[in-house]
Amino acid sequence: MSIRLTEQPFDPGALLSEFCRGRSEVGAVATFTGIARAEAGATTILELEAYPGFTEAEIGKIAEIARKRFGLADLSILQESGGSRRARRSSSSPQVRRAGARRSRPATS
Amino acid sequence: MARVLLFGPLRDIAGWRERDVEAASLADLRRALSVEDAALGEALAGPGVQVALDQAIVRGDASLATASEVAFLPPMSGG
Repeated sequence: MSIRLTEQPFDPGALLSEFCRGRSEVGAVATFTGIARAEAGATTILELEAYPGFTEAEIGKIAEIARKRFGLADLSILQESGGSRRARRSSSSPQVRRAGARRSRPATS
Repeated sequence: MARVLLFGPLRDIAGWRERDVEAASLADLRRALSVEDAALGEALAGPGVQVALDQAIVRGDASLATASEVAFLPPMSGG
């Protein structure tokens, strides 16, 4: 089981490919990828804070519940955090929304 | 002495994210922060705000004698 935070944008497809590589005894992989909504143009920036260490531990508790409930063979969770860096790159008066995040959670069963 | 961490709107209200505060208990810490900044004190007591001592959630009061880090966590929202 892998649980990571990253402040860098990532490719969910590449993560899925890497997760599937070499698995010969797994019948299916389910994924969830969260993306930020633009809210009809009202939101241009998404800022998500993480509490390093605590955030991974809390996600891990949820992951463990899911692993037991669905009989998962493995899990990989990558959570994007940060956003202020992207905010500086964008328009001069960005709307900041601190909710949701890009996340990808492949799970095998 | 405990290192206090604020996240999200709590940080915005306080105008700071991290600082050291002298307090013997969580209740003392709340009082100290409220005296200094009433708006922050009210926000910290708001619904859904959780407290983590050394990265473990606690409810109610707790001694800070051995705790080195106190984080106030606002409710999560969105999706």
